Amino acid sequence: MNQQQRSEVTIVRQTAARFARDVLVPARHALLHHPDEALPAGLLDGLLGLGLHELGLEEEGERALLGAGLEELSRVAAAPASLVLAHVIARECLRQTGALERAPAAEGAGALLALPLYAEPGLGDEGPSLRQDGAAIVLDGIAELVVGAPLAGAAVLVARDAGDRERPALVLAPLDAPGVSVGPALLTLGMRGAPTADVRFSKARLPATARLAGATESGVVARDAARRARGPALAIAAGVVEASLRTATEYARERYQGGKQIVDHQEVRALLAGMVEDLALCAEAAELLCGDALAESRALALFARAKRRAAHATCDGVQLLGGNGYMEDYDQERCLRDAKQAQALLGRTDLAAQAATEAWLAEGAGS
Amino acid sequence: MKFDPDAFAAGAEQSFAQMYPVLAALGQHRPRMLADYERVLADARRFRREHLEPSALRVELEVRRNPEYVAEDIICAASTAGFFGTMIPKTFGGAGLSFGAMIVGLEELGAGCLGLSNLLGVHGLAIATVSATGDIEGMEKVCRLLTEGERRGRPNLLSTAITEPTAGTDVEDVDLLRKARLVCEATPVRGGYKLNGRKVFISNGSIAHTHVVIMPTDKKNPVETTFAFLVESTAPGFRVGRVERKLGQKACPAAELVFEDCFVPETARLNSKALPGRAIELVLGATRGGVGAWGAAAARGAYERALLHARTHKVSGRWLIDEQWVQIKLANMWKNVALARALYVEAMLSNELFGLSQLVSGGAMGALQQRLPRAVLESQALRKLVVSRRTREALQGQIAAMEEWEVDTASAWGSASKVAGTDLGMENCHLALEICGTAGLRHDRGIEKIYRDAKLLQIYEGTNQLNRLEVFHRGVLRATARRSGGAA
Repeated sequence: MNQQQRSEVTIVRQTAARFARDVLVPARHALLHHPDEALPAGLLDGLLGLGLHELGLEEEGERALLGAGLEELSRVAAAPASLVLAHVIARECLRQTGALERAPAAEGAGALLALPLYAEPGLGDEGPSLRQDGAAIVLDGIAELVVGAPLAGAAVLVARDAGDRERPALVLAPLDAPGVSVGPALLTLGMRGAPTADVRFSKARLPATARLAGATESGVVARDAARRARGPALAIAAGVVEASLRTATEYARERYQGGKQIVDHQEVRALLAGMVEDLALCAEAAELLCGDALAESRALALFARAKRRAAHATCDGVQLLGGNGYMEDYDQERCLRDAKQAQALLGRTDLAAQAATEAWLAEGAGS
Repeated sequence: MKFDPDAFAAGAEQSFAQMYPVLAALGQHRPRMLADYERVLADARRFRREHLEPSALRVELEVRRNPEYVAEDIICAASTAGFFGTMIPKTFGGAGLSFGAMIVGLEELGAGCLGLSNLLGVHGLAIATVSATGDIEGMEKVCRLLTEGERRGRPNLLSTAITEPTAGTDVEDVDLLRKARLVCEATPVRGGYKLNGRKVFISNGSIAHTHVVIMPTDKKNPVETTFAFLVESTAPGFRVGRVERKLGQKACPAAELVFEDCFVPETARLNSKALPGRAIELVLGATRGGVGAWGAAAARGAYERALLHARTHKVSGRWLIDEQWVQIKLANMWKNVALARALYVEAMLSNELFGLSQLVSGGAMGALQQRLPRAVLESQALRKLVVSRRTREALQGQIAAMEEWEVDTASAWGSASKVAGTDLGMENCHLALEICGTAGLRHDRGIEKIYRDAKLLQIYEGTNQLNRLEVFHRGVLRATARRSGGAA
């Protein structure tokens, strides 16, 4: 990264941190209790005002900027960061299939694209089925846990071609089209405050152009967009771990046990040391994965390992605070939930690890 | 190997002997004990199916909207089923079963919902605490609150108030207690005591009728001056503070209890002597085994849900259950359940041999419970005999006569079971979320809830960090040293 890129990253960090402090911190209660409570007016406009959602995944420099912004937001709340990430990946799918101009032209949140952010890229076995009907395609079934669906104008998702169940089909589905209905906002483990819902298709008839790519390219595009998104996705996890570590450290300095500061107990220091290790892994991996330097096998393995460690670190963060860590007041429980949900970003870690092995073998390892 | 759902459905539930081979073997020598355990398991299993599982997610959503919501319907149903009196001596109106039998029931209930299981089981801590004082009058009082209420359809619940805002782990360990930064103090006044301070995170604190409150009369010298007091929620100067918003186990409210010149009469103090460190060790040695059982419950709840998901969902066109990576994870989860259970059964049996359980359900008292008909046990004549100064002195004498290695052995097993069971429970939750993918993240599928619920098990009854040190001090150092030195 050159000097100019570094200063751009600093500016993005500062802007995102200011938004987190001025807007997300006061909105903390509403974010934690969404969907029971509505998000404060202006939060989404403010988020869009940051411009992070306009960054692309194509260029390494933009990915670094996106990662920096998402990491800062996630120190306070990962939910808004996940909304941005879903949109950016969906947009990357449109870019790769030459369909950017088909993105919704609405103002505000309606311009957002929704995406099943936790599904394995390019799979979608349990997603809707698709069949060709003359000049149209017809979708039936449910796309689960689509991040941003209650707000967005359209969703990018993977359907299964009814003619060949093994073949994925990448689709841009307007969420107000006849036969398309967005369910109520779902309560999820973490990232609460990122409106997420199931999208139901009942013989939804869309123009054939809604199919973004043919059978062969769909999976490739979805996986490539996800590949480019690994760094920013991991930056979300890194932001959450940093918040957890900071809270744990402050607590360990402030509180006493057995007549001495908690931080002076060796077991507490061991917990903190583990968290520092995990944060270093996540933050460094996020930065590396925003670049293109790593072979695919290493990138996937690092991504899977770092996501796992982030979830582990925040469990320790709660543990270090004892009963206080389990209560809403100290933000550690939010970190635990957000980090565990972040582990599922772009699919299961086990499947990512398996893909790493496949890539390792395909790269000619040992030959 | 392909998974056969029909074959699975036919043998989905493990038999008692499959779940507890050690106990089944032991049952050949103590058939009555085995029959009790099997009955409790069957009752708990039925209650889980009929009441807990259909309500668990609904109750959690209610509490999420209103932290003061209480699942009264579940409490009443459990009351009808007689759960609150399980381990209470027949003389005091209970079923007279052992602490171990209750723990078997708690695993089953916990596998359905840890929060509701805690709501229905946390009174066990209060009974254990009062029992460890040897105060037979106090025991009768708290036991009858439960059993007589149960007969009316709604027990008067109990809570145990130990944790303070600046002392959580410290009040769980006698050595740490010496240096604890306590805020609570019971000042002796004419005719009784005035209690001041705040207790926090008290399970069922906001809904309990009576609280077993642990408080020193001199907070600068807590080890020598700590007593247990029975405080009714109507006592002047007592109030419930805020009810916490928690990560999980939402069905069991955790509340702040506030004491502001709260007067309690002399009779509210249990036992004339301050709580010895031994009493605290006896209580925790018993109840930590119970938390170990909840750890096994978490491991099992996660395993059962992951297995169901794997049977009914596909990835890449293949059933998850047919994927080797899933099979290996499920095998590990099954193993974790077995390990957690094996350890808490050891802890439970160790407690019946060396710990608090031998006082409550063993010895002469236990023999009476087993042999005499209920009519005799509930008669006023026997009650007078049992609730007497002589019994109190005998119980206290028994507590004092216990060898240190016995207490240490029970404590070490309790802590080991707590640490291992709850860590294995959390491990299974991680594995379940991995298998279940997106479904694991949604509240409406009930999988992420276990993850949130299980985390508390690693924290309460002393953090797992403290309990590891307990295993070291009582298991590695003391119990083994004394035994090898020929103490027993």
